[in-house]
Amino acid sequence: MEQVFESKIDSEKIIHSWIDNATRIWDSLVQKDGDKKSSFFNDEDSAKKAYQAWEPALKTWNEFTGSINKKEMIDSLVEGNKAGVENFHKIMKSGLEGYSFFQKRWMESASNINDVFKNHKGSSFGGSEIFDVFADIYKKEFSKFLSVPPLGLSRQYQTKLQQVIDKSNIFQVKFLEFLYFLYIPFEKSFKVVQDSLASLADEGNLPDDTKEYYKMWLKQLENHYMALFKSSEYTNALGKVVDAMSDFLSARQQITQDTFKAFGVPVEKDMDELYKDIYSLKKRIRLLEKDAQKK
Amino acid sequence: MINMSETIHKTMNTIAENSEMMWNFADDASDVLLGDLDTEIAQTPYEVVYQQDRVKLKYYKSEAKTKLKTPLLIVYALINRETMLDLQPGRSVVNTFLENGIDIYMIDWGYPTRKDRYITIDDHVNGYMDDVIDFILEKEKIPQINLMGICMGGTFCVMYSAQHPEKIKNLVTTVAPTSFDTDQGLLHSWMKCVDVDKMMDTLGNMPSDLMNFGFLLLNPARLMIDKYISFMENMNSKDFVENFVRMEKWIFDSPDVPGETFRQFVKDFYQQNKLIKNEMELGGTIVDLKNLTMPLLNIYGKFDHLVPPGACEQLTKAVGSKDVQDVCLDTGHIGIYVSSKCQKEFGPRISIWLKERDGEKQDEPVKKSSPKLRIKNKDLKDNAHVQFLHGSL
Repeated sequence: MEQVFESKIDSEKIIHSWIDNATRIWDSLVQKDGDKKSSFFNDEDSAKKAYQAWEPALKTWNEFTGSINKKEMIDSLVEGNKAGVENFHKIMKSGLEGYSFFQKRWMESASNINDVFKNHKGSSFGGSEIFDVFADIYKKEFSKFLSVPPLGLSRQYQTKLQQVIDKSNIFQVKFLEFLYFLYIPFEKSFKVVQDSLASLADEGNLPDDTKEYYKMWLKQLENHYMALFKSSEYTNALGKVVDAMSDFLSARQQITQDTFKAFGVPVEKDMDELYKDIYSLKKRIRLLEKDAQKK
Repeated sequence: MINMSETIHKTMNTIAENSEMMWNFADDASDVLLGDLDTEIAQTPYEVVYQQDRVKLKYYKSEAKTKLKTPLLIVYALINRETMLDLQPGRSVVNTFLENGIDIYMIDWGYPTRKDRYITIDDHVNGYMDDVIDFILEKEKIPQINLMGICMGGTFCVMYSAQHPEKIKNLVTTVAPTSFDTDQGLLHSWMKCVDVDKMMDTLGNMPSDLMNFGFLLLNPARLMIDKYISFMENMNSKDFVENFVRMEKWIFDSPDVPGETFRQFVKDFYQQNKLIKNEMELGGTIVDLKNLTMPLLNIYGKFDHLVPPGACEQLTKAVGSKDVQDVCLDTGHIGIYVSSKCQKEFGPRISIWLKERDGEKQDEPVKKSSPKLRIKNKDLKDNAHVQFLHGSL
């Protein structure tokens, strides 16, 4: 890469020509020694005043160009240029390596996801196992990114925020699973009714009253709900969604309390402590009153 | 072709007839819904004679010529409200008792707020209930009262009677769960899988909406679909709409349950079934059901999905009383109180049972009752709304 760069661009020539051109421009603008033939200024006084004003700057310029026009300086500039390219190359290289590292980790996670799918067995309520798979994938492959320890002054607040996000995600998956369970009887009852209607149609016994269809479906729906509610799959899902809801509400409460505290507003925790004191005091007073009445 | 033409003609006629019927129905329904509806509940006059915190004591005075000597204290559950016993004229357990000469005291638990989250079962039973009973005994200048408990309130009454048998003359439990190790009711299975500690630590109190959602889930097909389809089919009937709205008002008028009470109820009863095993501890003392020596009438519903017969029928075998009676009605959890058929069976039966024991001493049973009596209510179909209650709750 360096060879290619050197063969295409001759940095020394570029610097020489740039300095020459720049000097020529300044010379043409302000003729040295107050030349009367200058086309830029209309009279001699103006040209002299301009030259006097610009003279220190032009001297500095000439000194600067003289110094960088030396071979050693040009060599060092060219070297610096090469070093910049090298640095850029290094940054790019580490960036690409970092990207491929993360890509590798994601690919590993993806292959783990496949394992999670393989390890899960189907349930009697077809399709519901997908939510367990999602929950597992989230826990093993995504939740850990929200567990990276935060640093600094605001680390406690960051931790609480991460908790809310994490618990909210878990709650949503569990809630979806719960809703899916509630939907299953609808699907099953419709299918049973369709099958029944098909056989009734074959026998030529289709009911005339449309309400009969509704009653048929409702009975099926009720039966399927009863079967679902008695199943261990449903009770597990119920337990999980209630747990996840409690976790999420608790995490959300933490954030809310921090916010209110900042405004000096008493939060539930403060009030609960107060309520507990009142409760204990009232109970003691009641006992004392009872004792006093007995005496 | 002729057949096809006839069919089309017939179909068009039917559509025309149906659309005319629909318009008439919509017209009548709008008259009913936009008109004056009497949907008030709990209209029987009463007086609040005692109040402690949010808990009030209602007093209903009987105007009957012959009255029982001993008043009756009714303890309702912490879930929903006691207004269910006085839903409407003609469907009111309160009115039935008053007509039969029974003075009634009834506990109104009020609406617990966050500050009530630490109130335990012991505070309800040995706190509020004991104070209320002491107040009544002093006011009436009597040594004992009759006690009737409903659902969770019945469980409270059983515990109270076991710990303070000297204050209770007769005990009536209605749809009161006392044995929780049964797989008959869905609640019994569901409560075993819930981490109630985590829930109550987070929520403080048990929110009424969450509980109502749980109750609706017991039978979503009937309670969330069929019920409202029945409503739409009967919107043109003023009586039906009024009854329906009264029930809706009552069902969804549900206070939160204090957190510690809910936690204890789930853990000690649903998960560990302590009461029937005489392992329940209340105020530092074990609740021994053998101490329950007063006459006991235990009523429950055969089709009760919330408190199934299996959760109720063990009580009479576990108590120390010799005068016990089980009555199983062919109805559900709410139908037992609100159906017009049960109005003729439930209230009058309790009144007669109390009358028979009104003058007797607590340790001398009037007569040996049959161990189990089953009353069948075959015709319970008052209307579609009540029918749903019978079948589903």
